[in-house]
Amino acid sequence: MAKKNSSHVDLKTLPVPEGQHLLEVDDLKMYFHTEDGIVHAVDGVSYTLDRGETLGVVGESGSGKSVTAMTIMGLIPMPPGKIEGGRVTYRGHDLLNMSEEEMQHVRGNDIAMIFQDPMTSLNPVYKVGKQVGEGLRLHRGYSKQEAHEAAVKLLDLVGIPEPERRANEYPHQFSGGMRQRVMIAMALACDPDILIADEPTTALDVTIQAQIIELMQEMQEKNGNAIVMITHDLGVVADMADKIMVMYAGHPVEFGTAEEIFYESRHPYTWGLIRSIPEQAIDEKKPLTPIHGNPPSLVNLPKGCAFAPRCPYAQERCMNERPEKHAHGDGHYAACHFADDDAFVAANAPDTSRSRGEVALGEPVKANRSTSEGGEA
Amino acid sequence: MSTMQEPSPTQRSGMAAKAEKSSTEAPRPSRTLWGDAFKRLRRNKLAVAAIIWIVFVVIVALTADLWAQQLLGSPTSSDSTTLAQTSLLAPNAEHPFGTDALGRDILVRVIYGARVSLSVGIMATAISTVIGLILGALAGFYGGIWDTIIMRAADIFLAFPYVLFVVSMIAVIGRSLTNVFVAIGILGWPSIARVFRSAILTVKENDYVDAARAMGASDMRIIFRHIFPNSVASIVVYATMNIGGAILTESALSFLGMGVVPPTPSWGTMIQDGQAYLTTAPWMMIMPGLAILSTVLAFTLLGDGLRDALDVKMKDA
Amino acid sequence: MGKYILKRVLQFIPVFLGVTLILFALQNIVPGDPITLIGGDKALPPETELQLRIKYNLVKVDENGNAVLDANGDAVPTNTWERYIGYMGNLLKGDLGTSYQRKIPVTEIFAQKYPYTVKLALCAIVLEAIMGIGAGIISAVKRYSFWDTLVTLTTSVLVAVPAFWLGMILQLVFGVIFKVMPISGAGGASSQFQDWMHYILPAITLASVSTAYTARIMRSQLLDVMSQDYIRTAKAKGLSNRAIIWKHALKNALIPVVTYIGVDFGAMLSGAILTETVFNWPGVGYEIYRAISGRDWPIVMGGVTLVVLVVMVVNLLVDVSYGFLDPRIRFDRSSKSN
Repeated sequence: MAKKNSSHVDLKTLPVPEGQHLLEVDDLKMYFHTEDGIVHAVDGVSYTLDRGETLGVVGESGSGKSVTAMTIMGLIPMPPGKIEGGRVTYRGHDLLNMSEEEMQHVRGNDIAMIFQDPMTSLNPVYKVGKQVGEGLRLHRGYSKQEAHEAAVKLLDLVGIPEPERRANEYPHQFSGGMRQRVMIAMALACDPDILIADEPTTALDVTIQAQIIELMQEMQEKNGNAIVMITHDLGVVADMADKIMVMYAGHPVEFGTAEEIFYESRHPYTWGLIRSIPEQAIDEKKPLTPIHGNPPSLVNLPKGCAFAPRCPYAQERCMNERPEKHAHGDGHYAACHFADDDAFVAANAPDTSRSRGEVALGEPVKANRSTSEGGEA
Repeated sequence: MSTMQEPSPTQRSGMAAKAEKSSTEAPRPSRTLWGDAFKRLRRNKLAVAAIIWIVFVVIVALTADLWAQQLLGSPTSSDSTTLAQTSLLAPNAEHPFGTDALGRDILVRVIYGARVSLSVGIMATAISTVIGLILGALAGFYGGIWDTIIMRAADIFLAFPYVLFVVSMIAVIGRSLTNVFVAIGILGWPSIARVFRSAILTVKENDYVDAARAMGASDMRIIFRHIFPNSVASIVVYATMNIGGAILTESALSFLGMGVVPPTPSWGTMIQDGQAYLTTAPWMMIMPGLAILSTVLAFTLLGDGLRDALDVKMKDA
Repeated sequence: MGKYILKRVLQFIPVFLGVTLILFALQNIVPGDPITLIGGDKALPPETELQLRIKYNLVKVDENGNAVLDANGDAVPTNTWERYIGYMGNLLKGDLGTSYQRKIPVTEIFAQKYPYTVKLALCAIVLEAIMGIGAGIISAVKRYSFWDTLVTLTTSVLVAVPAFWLGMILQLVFGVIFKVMPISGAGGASSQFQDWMHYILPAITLASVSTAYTARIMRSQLLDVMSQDYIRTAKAKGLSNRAIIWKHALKNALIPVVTYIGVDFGAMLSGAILTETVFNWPGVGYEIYRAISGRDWPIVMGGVTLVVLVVMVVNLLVDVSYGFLDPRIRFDRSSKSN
């Protein structure tokens, strides 16, 4: 139950320790122990995040992108889940070793999360205002009245018309886009440092998708929070992310700034994702190129590169040897045996990629990175 | 007392969404379905125990004529000359379950009672299933006015408190073994009809039914070749559980004196006989009660096991 | 909401008509001529017999209440349709006929009996709600624990036990062996026990099966709700597990359970026939049971009719209240398809 006068220290009021980032994920491993074997859901994910930054996490379903986020939030039931290694620190505090009660103070207060399906993510039997204000009552000890007033303000802030009236309505009386706005209001209620958005636009109409992304960016400008944007669609994070992590079968296969991922990508899986962004295909009158096949079972991962069975460039070595992360400057890395092979990259990267040389866009571009990994602004 | 039928019309409204999903979800090739199901069933210890018990009870009931009377005496007639020595004996080596007020062995009566219970359970379920399948098929497949009439009729039948309905029906058609299973059977159709109807509605959504129709398959052919195999799993589960429910209803009828006519032994009647001797000869009612409990429990557990093995989604109760 | 209620009420009407039709049909094919059942072994004088036939709506009457005679001077029998109209008329007037043997109106008999049955059913409902919901919650929250297994096994057994037999076992244990509970009747001056003690064993018996079902439904509902997305949302907000269960999960899970229990009240009035017979409880069920053995059909049919109608009305009320409990129906602007 909520302890209103808790002696608990609000972590987000503490400074980030010198030399550390707001959130640091280091070699995180989350396995599920099931009847059929051990599922390597997340296997060695690392990244850092600072206030005001947006990290895009991209991958197919089952690539471990959601599980990574849920692990950070402590939302994975254990068992069957088990953390097999790695560290997650928030403002220097180890989240993985916190007690459940301490984690409850972090959830919603310091790190908030919104989910894919706004139709099912709100409790059908409580009024929207009550659900939005619940976090404030819990973490800030607001009275019912205060929480309600704050909820109305929040609903107004996220662009819900007639917020006083709407706060007294039930979720089923809202449209999908409006519900996602409610979810955002709810997540931002306690002014968290980090907002994790797990496919927040996937269940929405295309027109609504853009509005929700804009809203998240607008809120970020106002509050200065960091965003972790999880999506299967590289196009969604194209405009908003500072950094992008591409995941495949529980592994991060490429990591870099948005620029690097879009224009200097060195991993065939990332290329596949870029080629399957529809807008681009239409714009440039190129055929959409799907990635053939399905992601591997996370129980019996291939011995070599997990992507090898679907990779059009795979060679014998890829089947037998797990690729290392090949760094290409500050922070940018790709886990592919041939990531260092400039000729290979130049020959096979999508047209957009500057790695390919001058041919692609008809304009000469320097091959080196243009933005450094976003440090503290 | 709610037996195995679906709880009520109200339940339906509350769980409408779930009920619609209650059939097998994705149609799978039937061979794998039953093969997998058998494997899963074998791993379920409770279900295996239930099957063993049911098989045992069935064999005992079927072969009773060959050995039971020689060993334990007649289940129906008694010898008035020796009554003083043979009546109300507590369980002993000669009479493992004791004897009743007329000196009859209770074990042999329980064995012969199994015949009544099993035949009522199976026959009543067969009647309910046949009627339920036909009406459910009409309602689900043709929809429209058929659906309205049949489902309203189901509502009407379910609006009756089950036990009272069966009791009034027997009061009208008279007591006999046949009448008991006819009454229970006729009144049990709505739940099966609903299950089959919603199974049909689910399957009907599938493209292959449209495809079959486009290829000129007749309605009967579509029902028997495409819809029935896909709903068999849920029907088997319901029918199995229904047998247990029918046995319970029969025992209740017999207890109220509306079941089979004495001296034919029935578990419910034996319990009623035992009521008068509760203080002096409690084994008279304990033994047949345990027989009902174990048999009904076996059918319920088997039904549960089949439900899990066949992956049939259904509502509780 | 208004639409929802209207729809429920409209659905109620055909069911009501159908139920009365079946009751009427049963009543009309009851074996034996009612006149002979009333008279017993003696032959009645023709004048009395004719009066009875008029009373039971078996012959046509004119405006003055005299029997219509045909050319031979015999009374003209009513046809089925006329008898159904008469039956419905009586039913709506609240006339359920007269006992063959006791010669008093059936309604009068049941007016005395109903309170006992209702009180017993209320006790059983309270028991069912507390025990069933409690066990269901424990079972779901501590899933796969010892308690869950215990609840699952107990409910399986309770569902398979004939309630009347369970009642007798309770009588045997608490009444005969330990002698701490009364096993018969509803108390009164002649009983050595307090009146309320007479309710304990019958209420447990009556509640047994329903409690098992309630526990099962509660468990599966709660588990179902706990796997919903909005529970994850609540957890992501920082709520403790306890708060999630009590505030977010329970309210959702309880809505169908409460309706089930409401409907069950009706089912208990009917199940009471077995329990009341076991415990000689002076209620509707026991009265019906005695009338069956005495072939006093008006009491049997009148009793069944009363119970059925009460059950139907209770179900209707539960259906309507369901709308109030669930905001998805209460505030639904479009009509909800069933």
